[in-house]
Amino acid sequence: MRRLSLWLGAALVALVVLMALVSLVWTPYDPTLVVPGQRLQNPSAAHWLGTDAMGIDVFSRLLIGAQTTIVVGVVSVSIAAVLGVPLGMLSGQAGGWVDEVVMRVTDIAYAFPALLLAILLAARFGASPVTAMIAIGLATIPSFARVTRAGTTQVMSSEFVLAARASGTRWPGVSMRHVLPNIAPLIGVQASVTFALAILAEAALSYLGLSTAAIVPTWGKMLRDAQSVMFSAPLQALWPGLAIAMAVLGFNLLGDGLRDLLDPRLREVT
Amino acid sequence: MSADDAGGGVLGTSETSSEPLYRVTDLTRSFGRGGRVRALDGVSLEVRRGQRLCIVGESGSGKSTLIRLMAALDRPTSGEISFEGRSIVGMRERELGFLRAAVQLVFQDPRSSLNPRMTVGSIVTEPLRSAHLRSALDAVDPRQRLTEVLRAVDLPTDAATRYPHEFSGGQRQRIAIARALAPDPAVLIADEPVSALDVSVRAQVLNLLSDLVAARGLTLIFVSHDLAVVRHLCDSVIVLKQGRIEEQGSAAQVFAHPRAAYTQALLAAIPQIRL
Amino acid sequence: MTLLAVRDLTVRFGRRRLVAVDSISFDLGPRQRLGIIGESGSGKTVTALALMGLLPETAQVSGSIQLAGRELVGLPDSAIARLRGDLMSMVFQEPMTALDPTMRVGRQVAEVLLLHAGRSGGPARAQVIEMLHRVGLSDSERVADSYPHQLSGGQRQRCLLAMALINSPDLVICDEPTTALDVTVQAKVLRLLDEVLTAESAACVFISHDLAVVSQVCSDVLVMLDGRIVEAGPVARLFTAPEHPYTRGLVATSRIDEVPPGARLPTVEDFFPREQAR
Repeated sequence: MRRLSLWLGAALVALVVLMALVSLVWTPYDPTLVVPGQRLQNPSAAHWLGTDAMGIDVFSRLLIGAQTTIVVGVVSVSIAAVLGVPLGMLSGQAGGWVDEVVMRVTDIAYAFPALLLAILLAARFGASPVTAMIAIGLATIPSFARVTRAGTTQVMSSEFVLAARASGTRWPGVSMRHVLPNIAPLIGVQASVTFALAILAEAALSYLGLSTAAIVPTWGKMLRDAQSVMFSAPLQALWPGLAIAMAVLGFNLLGDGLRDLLDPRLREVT
Repeated sequence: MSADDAGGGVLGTSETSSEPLYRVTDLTRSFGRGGRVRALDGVSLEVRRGQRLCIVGESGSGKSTLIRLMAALDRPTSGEISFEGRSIVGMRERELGFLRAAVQLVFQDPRSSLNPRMTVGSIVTEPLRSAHLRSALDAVDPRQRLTEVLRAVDLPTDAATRYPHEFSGGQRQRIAIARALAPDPAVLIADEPVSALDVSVRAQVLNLLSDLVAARGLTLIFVSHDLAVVRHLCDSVIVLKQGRIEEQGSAAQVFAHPRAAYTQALLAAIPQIRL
Repeated sequence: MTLLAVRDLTVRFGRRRLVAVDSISFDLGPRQRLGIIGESGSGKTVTALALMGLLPETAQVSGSIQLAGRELVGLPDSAIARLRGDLMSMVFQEPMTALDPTMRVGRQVAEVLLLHAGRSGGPARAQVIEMLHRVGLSDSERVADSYPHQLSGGQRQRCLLAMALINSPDLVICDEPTTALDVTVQAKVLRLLDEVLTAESAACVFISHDLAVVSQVCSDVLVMLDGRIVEAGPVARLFTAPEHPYTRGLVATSRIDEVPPGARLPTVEDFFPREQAR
């Protein structure tokens, strides 16, 4: 069961990555080519998933959309991790008032609505995937910081850290040799789950028009375009919806699977 | 620089030999809001160079608190600790080099005292990498030292490339002992080093410790709840109960004629084979 | 008449089918107490879990375990669950983790009672208080209303003992019940266990790595090594005339107090050399 979620998650994630990679070198049609003569066609041998309201090949758009999805996920998770992990480690290692200050600031940031942040950024710098990624990244820093802090405090209370301190190892050594390697699995799980969150958030922002400029094909944008023809051509909403669900499910399952795999309580069974 | 002075202090010990190595005076450590819980309450003791002192007590006796304070891993609420005649209370980490190089610890449970994600080699040589010790122990080749200490604790040299979980409990405790020996300390503090081990491997580790102490002329501070173990390793005993010293004396005297009722209870509680 | 009959019990783990317990057989009569002694990895805890039907899914069990004439191997978990806490019960090593930190102790003990007897709340509480009293908790009312973290290690272990005994089981399995306790507390809990088992006329399987501890409670001992039984017999016989070299080693290491101070302690390897001391 545990292994199943790991493998299923990995397979779905691999599929999304594969779509993105394929789209780099090949798509059946130009995913931005508007052909007014062939609007809203049903799936056929020529157009595997049909065409949309502008006459663009849906499958091509879906493939290209995977690229944006991956980029958005990678960039937002990187922003969150690069800022959140050191913050959490600082908090967990320093303790005392530093910990108190960092955690209270994190709490405040946590309470700030992510959507409002996205709207503010879009209003100031214009709606683009870049502002969306920054908004998502910034909004997920607190959860990274919290998970990191929890892991760090646990490692800091272990005797091997005490042993290291007793022989004069200072905090950079403790961080690099003891804390980071031991919380890495935790961060991996958090990254995977945040990745899913980022995909969903980007789709939502695209749907609201807060991410994508008109022509960049993303799954959220496809969903938004499908809305106007939802009753006449319901399949239009189905494809991007499925793709988003698949990617989100994939990263969530992968996160769960990793968590179980790396849980030392489950590992030491003999 | 203070680190250089510290290095000199460690090496040039002869002039201070009449002075006790450790002098602990009226040491108190409280925890909790308003210091309600007194883990340690007015403890005074001395440790001579070459002494093998055992601190006996049960959970809540303050024995772990005491050795953490002596290893400068925690700060006392009040009281004084001096090592080699220098007060270590309130000293900044940067100035503690002379203590860090000279005092090493072995903990109770090697499952938690060895980082599971480091190889045995890097675990054992970690103390050599700290800045303090690099200046105090000039020109030690880590690889050579690694081979030497692994041999000293009867572990194969190829153990260095493996991870702690590949070893049994007794072997892991040997790894922890090897790490403690790596910076060639003068004092070894062992916090219940055999109580997490099977009875059948305790004897091995105790024999090893006693050989090492004799061969390297170490000062041993051995913490235990088990008086039977103590008698073999130590020449003097301090019995702690609820943060206070209940009884102290030579090991032979405390064993043969325990004065405090609590010491008598501890002795009576040692499980004997019942036929 | 035998209460527990184990025949050719074998337990394998995982895909590689690592053998943890290798076709062991033994009998236990009513009210009899059997110690199982061995080092970590000897299979003693796996044996205890197999008796309780508490092994993880990855374990493959073969052979036979008969408790009061009922075959336990191959029985579905729901059927064994009905026996657990009723006909047989277990006392774990770590009383802090074996108790639910969010639940008052009295309720945890009562739950075991209600699970099997299905009695109403009122008399259950009285029974719980009485049971806690019987395991040496004099202020049993207060203990019953406490959460585990408000109690000392010894008190917690007594509560576990009360849970294990409240349904008057025929068999109590103790897995290193005193390893996590202080020596003075250990001595008290062992004495108590001895008394309570007699009073409740329950049989006991006592798992430990410490021969001296086992001898406080049990009359007979099995010595396990690498999943096999290497020697079995009354404690007195094993102690005075051990046959297997490993047993001789165990006996020697358990008599630290008889070795003159400063002398080298005997080790198991002196009697039973193994390739590389594991």
